[in-house]
Amino acid sequence: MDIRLKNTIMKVGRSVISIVAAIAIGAILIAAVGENPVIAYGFLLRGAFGNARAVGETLVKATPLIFTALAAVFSYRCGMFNLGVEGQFIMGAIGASWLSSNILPFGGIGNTLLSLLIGTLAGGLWGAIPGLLKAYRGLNEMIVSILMNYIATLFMAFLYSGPLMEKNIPQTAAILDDVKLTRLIEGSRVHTGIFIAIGMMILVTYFLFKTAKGYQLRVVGLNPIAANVNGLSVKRMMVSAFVGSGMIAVLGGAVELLGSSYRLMSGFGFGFGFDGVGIALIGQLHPVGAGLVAYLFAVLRTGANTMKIATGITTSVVDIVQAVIIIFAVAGTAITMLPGVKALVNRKWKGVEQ
Amino acid sequence: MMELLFDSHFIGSLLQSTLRVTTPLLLVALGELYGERAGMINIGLDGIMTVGATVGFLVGYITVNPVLGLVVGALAGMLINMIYAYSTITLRSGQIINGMALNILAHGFVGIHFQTVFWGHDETDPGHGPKTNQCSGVVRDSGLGSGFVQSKSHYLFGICACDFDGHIL
Repeated sequence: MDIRLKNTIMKVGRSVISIVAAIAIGAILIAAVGENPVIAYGFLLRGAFGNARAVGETLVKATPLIFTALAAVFSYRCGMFNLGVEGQFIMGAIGASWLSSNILPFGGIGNTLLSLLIGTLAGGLWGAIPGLLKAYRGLNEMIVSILMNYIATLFMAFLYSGPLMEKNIPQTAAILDDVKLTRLIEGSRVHTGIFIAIGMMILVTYFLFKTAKGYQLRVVGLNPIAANVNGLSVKRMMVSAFVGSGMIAVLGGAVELLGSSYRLMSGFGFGFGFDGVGIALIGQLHPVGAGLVAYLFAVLRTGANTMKIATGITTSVVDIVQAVIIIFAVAGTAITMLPGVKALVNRKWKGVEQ
Repeated sequence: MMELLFDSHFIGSLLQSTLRVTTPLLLVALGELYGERAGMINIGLDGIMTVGATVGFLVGYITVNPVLGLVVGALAGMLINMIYAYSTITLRSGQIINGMALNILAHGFVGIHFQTVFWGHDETDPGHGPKTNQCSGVVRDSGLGSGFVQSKSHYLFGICACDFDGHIL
């Protein structure tokens, strides 16, 4: 059997097995709380797919997760861990909110597009900071980016409590109606941001696997020393990876603001960043896989609310399922790399081929 | 206005609250210190603290014995850290992502705990168990633990733990 097909089957198999195992653990937890897992999961699925509004809500929740997961995939492919996705997300929203409400004198779709574009570019600068520090000073980019998350969150708090505050409530003004991303389906909150997210997914896939620059990025991620020997500028690639990853995350924040939240307030963007990194790993660092897993996480989150209303089980069960998926996916990837396990799997494959 | 800053009452309460806030930070930092000396980066300390606090509170509440709550909370935190340890050391997967997943796991664990034990609805509505005045929270890390007891002993514990670690390391 073709080795690439075998690798793909292994990768997809690992993700699927970890998801199934985590859902089984969730079922055990639900049973421990005293409910029937099948009924509870039935409510979860109904909450995510039951009617048009539910499907729309799932898509709305999936959009920011897709963006953060793509950002994480992009930087992981270069061997860089961009854990500052949350902060970049917030800075994107700040930029979009500020630009569209306070700076740009015109409204309408031009305002929307320009806010997204300029916000993305400016946010790329924010994302570049950990990259530059890592490439030229050797700082650990994980720590720098995690701490910059805090800077971004508190900066947003400063803004919506101070300069951009509206009417004495700690939140910024809502963006104008004609600036908002249009809603697609009547009665649900789906907005054109989902198209932007899917477009971004296709763009990142194309860039990583079909262009020369993407190939160079992946080479630097797989083996920086070989890349350096072959003449690729490793430092520049590292910074570019961070800039690109930051721009994707920033775009996600701007889209979330313009499409769904409309104003900055406390708790904006909470929980998208780290989940995006986990989703990227479960999706085996492939943009399409990450997008699918992001949709799965959105299904879990949307369904959890319905499950809670219907059966009284807390949303924490779904939190645990999500965390267990991440742990199993990461541990599963690692366990199949162990020499003993790898030999066993190869023996089984030989048996299958014959 | 500035003389209020140097009022002895203000400085006294400032120092006291500094000590109070330092204790958890200090203990968590000491725990991470052990891990970092061994070469591991444990981002999941936040989750371990949460689990230790929850379990310690529960045990202290049931047995009305703060020391027992402290010890059991520390043990619980240690056990939850074993997930991170097994996944990272034996299976050799990434440390940061395991730590972050542990944070989310602990968050969910606390929510379930509130629902099953205290008849609450989720982590923002913890329910109405009568509050204990013995144990209000446990801070733990990968080997040490502490309890916020309503006495001066926890300051001393923090200082002793520091001294002890200094001798070991």
